[in-house]
Amino acid sequence: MKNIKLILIFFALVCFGCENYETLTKDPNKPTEVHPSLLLTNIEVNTFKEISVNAAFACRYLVFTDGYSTSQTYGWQRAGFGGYSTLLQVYKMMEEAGKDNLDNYIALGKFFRAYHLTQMTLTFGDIPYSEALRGDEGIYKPRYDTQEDVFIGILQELTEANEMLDESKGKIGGDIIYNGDILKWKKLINSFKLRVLLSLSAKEGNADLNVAAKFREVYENPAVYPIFTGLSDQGQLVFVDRDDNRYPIFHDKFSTTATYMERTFVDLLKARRDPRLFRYASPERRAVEVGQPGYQNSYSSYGGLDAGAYVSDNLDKLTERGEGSPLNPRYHSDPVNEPSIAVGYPELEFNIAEAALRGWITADVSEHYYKGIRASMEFFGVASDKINTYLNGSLVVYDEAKALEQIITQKYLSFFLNSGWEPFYNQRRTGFPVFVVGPSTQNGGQVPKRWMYPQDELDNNFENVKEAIDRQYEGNDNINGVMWICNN
Amino acid sequence: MRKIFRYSLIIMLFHMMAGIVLAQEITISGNVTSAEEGVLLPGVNIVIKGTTIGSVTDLDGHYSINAPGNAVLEFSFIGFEKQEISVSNRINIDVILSEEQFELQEVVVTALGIKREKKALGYSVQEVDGASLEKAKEPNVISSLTGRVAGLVIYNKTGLYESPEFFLRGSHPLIVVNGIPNPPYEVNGTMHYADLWDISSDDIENITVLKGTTASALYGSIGKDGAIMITTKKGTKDERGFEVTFNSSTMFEAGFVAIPEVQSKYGTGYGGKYWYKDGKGGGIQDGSGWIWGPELDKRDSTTASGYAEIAQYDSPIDSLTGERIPTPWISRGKNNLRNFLEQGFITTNNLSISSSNEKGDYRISLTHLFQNGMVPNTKLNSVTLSLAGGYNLGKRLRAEATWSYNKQFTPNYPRRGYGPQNYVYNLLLWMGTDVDVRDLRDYWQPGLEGIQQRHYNYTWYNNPYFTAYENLQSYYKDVNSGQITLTYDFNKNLSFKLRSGLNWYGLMSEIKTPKSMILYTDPTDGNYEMTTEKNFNLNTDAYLEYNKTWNEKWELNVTAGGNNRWEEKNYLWAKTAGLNVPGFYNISNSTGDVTAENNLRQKKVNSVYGTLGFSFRKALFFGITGRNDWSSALPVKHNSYFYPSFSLSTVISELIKMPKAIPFFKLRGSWAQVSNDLSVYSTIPVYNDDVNWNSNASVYFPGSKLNPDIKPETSKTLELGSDIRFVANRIGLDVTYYHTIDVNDIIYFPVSEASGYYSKLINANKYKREGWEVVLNATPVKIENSLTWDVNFNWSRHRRILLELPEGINDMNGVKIGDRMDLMRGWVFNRSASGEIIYEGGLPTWDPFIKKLGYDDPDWTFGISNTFKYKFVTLNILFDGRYGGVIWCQTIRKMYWGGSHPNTVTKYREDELNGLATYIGDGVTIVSGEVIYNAEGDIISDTREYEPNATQVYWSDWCQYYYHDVSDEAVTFDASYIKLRELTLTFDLPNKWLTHLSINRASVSFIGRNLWMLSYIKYIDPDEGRDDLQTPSSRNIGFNINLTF
Repeated sequence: MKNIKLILIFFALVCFGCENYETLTKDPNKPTEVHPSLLLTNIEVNTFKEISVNAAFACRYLVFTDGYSTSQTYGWQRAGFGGYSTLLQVYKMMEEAGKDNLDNYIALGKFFRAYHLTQMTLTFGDIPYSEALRGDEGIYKPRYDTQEDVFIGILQELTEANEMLDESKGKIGGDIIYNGDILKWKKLINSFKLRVLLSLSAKEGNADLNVAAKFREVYENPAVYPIFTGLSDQGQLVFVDRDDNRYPIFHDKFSTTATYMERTFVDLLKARRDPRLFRYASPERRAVEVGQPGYQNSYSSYGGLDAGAYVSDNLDKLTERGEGSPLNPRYHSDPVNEPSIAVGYPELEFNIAEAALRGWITADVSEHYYKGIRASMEFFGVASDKINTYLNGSLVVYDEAKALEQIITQKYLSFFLNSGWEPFYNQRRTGFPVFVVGPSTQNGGQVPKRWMYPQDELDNNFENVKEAIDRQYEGNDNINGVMWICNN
Repeated sequence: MRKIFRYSLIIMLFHMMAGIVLAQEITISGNVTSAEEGVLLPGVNIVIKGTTIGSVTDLDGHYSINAPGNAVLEFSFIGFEKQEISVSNRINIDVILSEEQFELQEVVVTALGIKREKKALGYSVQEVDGASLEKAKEPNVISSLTGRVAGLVIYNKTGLYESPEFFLRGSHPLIVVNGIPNPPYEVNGTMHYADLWDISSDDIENITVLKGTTASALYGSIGKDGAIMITTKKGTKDERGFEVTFNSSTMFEAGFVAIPEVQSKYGTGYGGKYWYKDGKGGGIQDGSGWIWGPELDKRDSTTASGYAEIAQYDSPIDSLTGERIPTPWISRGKNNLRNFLEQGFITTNNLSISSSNEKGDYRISLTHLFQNGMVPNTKLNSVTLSLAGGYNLGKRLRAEATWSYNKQFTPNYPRRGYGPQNYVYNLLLWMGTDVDVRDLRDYWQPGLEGIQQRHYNYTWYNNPYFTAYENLQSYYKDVNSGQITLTYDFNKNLSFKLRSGLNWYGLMSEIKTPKSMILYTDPTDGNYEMTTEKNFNLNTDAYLEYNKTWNEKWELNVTAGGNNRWEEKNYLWAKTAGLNVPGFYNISNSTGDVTAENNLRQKKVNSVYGTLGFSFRKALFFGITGRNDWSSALPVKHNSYFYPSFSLSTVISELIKMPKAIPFFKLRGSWAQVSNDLSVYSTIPVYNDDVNWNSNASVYFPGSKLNPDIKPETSKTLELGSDIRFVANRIGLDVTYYHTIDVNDIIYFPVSEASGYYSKLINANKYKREGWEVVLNATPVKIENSLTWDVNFNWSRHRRILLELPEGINDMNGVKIGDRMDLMRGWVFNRSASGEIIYEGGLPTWDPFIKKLGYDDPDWTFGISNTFKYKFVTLNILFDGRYGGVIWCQTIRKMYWGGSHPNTVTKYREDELNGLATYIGDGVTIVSGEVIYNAEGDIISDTREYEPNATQVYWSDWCQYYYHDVSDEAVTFDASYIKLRELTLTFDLPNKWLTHLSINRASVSFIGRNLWMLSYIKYIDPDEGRDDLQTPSSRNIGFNINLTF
């Protein structure tokens, strides 16, 4: 009988795990539902961080000296569909907001969709739109819409977003950009819309898009379509000295030892005696070694390396002659540095100037041109008397004969390490400024016009991507293909 | 009268004495015949027992021998059973010898600890005796199985405390210790499989490998891919009833079978230039950390030293100018890696006491393993205390229990991976030989102890002594595992068994990062992070076992029972954001906000199962098993799954008369189906924690779409095998073929990212896994009282092929239907139709479409073990190897990129330093025409015309481009190798030396592991299966002492 007692004791052990099966299928560590504000913060970090060193190489702001960067040699091939991953978070935010009718988050969702889809269509050409982001409905192989249809959709969503935002529809939480300020969001949405409309400048005649009229509609109705009126309105992400919140290239090794200014960019700044040079760059080593008093503020202490040269030739200049200005150390040693501009106020002024130049709106081209330059100077901390001197410089003062070149060039100078790939798209659209090439440049010395579709799309969505490549590029997916937006 | 009596006595005594001392020799003769056939046997050996005097039967089977009348004669003949016959003064003795009955009586332990005769099994099983693991010890016992089991492929790692990876028929097998399984678990998306660090090889009685699905169908879905069953030693079998054993193995690192070498002609710098100012780029290339610098040891008659002089990190500073005074640029650090590494050694010591009698038995064993790492300040300790006991509680009831406690502890073991935390990165890849690592031993800057390290580069790298002594990675793990088994015999046919076991561990691991340590992007404020984990598994089986025999021909065995398994894991991680007080490693010492995470995972599985086995005349065996599991990891509406198995085996040699040369021939076949569940919490989507921006928390929704309707995945296996013994068991050949179909695989299937998701969890695909295993055992030489030579040879081949994909999908990550699943793809050179590399601007170009590089798995693997025994000397030699498969080598790639690879020293490099671009790559350039690809990457039209490449470029540009920037192809190599894995030479000490020391048995062995290797890759050991900055692969030599009291 002693034996039976022993057996019973052991059966008691078997009763471990008496939790029922239902409870055990649920993950006790993570929530299944959240307030949309928790998703908003993450989306904003991913959207507004628009500091791209690769864009800087491609647009001849900077040169890489530790080997070859395909962004600099134009040897790139494919890009990715990562924007859709961010849009999954946006989709979820809109879904969670829909449960409690928090329409303001849905409106912001539309803006984010427009923003990321714009980035992706400018990169590739046709992309999935109407069937995209519908994985929950079982659509895993979305069709590719034409770029024209994508832009029609983007403009529509921006209009809806502006209309939907309303103080009465609930406070926006988790907003690290505007802290819930509805008016500022509207300004951002409409200013971005103006950027999109202007980027369609080659399609002025397209009746479905009607870009000129839409631009005018926004510009002439600030009550309905508010736009940026100053630097404090612009869409930017402010950095903090905390883990994962710091300036993106803080302590980045390559930026510290292998990144130098590009000669043509430095020459543009030097020719205009542009004080932003001292904020972007450091003096060349030969100037440091000579050490003349006040050399840090002398334009002749600065110079650049050649984006088209072989690495060894650039290194020779660096090591033998001490030429080549390094990137200003604030970019890699200041954890906060400056905010990351995604959609800036200076850019808006330049866009208005160009629209006026094209006759889309009635406005004084030079007024907005100067406003744009001034705003950019102020962002970089240039004193106002120096700005005035600058605006009177011979290459800067408004010259109607060279208006477009001046506007785009000044916009280019303001885009240093901000606004992502905007300078590249502007150059593709207008031809300004000329991107220098040389012996190390691949792609036959040509500046590419796009990126090839992701390998994953060939693997997972073959028929649809093939159809898009066939109808746009005659079946040959290549980086020199001319997409619809670039055609007249 | 008395005199006669006295004389008689004396004569009788004399006869007796004579009989004892000097018995009369007589001549004995007779015939020797065989029992079975009645034929006379020539060549039969006859020996007088206790002597070397003997004779042999002649061609007529007749013998004649002179021997004392009271002698004992031994008759022996190969293939026949030996006989001893007392002469007893007979002069005519005919002997009948019986043929040796070959009884394959081996009993093996199968699933659930059920013992079966090996010949009854319808599936493949292989055993490894604990004795073969006794002498040459590896830190982790799995490594000792390398090359010993067909189908078990082991990837041994070279670094301290790195767990070997092992696969049985291409998948991870279940580890079972004394009947208690140790199932795998998932943490943060990574599967963790049982490692065997907590098992001492001195405690192992034997290891049985149940290879296929059938073998382990009784363990349920966790046994789907086979099982490695470890049985530990219990009470002694020594006839004295008591035994004390002491076993000690010590091995020292004695050279390397694979170690990278660097060039020492050129030093730190870039473009042939270097001048130190601050290590951050303020000088010339003193921050960028390349080894494309100026030539070393160059003569210069203008300097005081006679050598070219350059300002270096340890050059003296001129007190007037503040500038560094240049010092000779010479290769001080030619042997940096070898100078840095210290003497590694590993010693394992074990003491065990065991005892047994009719009532019960017990064993107590204590093992201590200590390994001193080659990397300075690294070590590993492991202590294991094992207890085992059995007791008969009554005539019918027996209780057995085992419990083992193991503690693994190391205050520091080397950090791995590609990055500045790894000493290989800092020392081998990125340190020029202008620096002597021994000069860096004082690693703090004077006056800044605890705050700033002293080094020659303050941008990218860490001083290797600094990381060795200050960046500490510790690990403390306490493992308890034990089980109690109660067996109650109702009668001689029916018994009940209850086994309950648990495996419980607690672990704490930490990483201490000192101030000024450089990592890729962290600020250099130092950090402390710690993880604690508690893991608890409880497994209980209760079943009835019934055995009955009829007519000595029919046998039936039945089992029926149930199982409950509970798994629980608790995890807590916390990390500081910068250290306040330098060198004080505690979570409270954080400058910024502490980040922390905790996690709980629980799982329950209940099962019922049964087996039925029939046998006829011990020659025909048939078995059925069935099991049903209910798992909490599946959605409740279909969390139950059933799976059966069938097996049939026949010992043909029992049914049909076989030629004498083949005493045993068995055919076996089995079919089994097993289903498997998935990791917990995979059916309901949840939000994950993401970045906290300035105290704003955020979440993200994972891009892998979960599936609330997921079903269990199922494997169906067919296995066929044959087991033949030749020539009186001198040769045994076991051949197995298996074929498994996996359906409803639970996988994250990749989808178009434009859907928002990048993968979705579905039941999809159909795979085929098939292979061959050959085990050959032979005894080519067996001379009585002289030389014996045993050979054991294993060979196996395994393939996993994709058979089906979901509708409308053409491939999964490039693998198409019919392809092997272990396909490796990568970027390759762009080539012309005739295979030449296409160049542009003097540099190679790459194919815009990802292509096949090779296969990850080997084509086949083998192991061959030879044991020679001559009197008291035993020599064992084990070779093993793998053929086929490729390996992508990060170390070699980075060595070419960085300029430290010996092959980067060419005349073109010299030209480059003189400002000349003279290297012309071997390939072609496009003169005219173009190529048009379709979307899939096939060429639709190719009008390209070529001419040989004639553009001269700088050597370093080409080298970096070719080996690093452009393709994976240039650093992907054939991973085949053959190794002399183990050599042991054992001397059994003669008894006469031992008796007065009261030692029962003793042996001394010379041992060696990882002694020699032949492979295609210089510098890297392909045994690891991957190269992510490997530690050099060391050769280990030592000795073993084994004493039994």
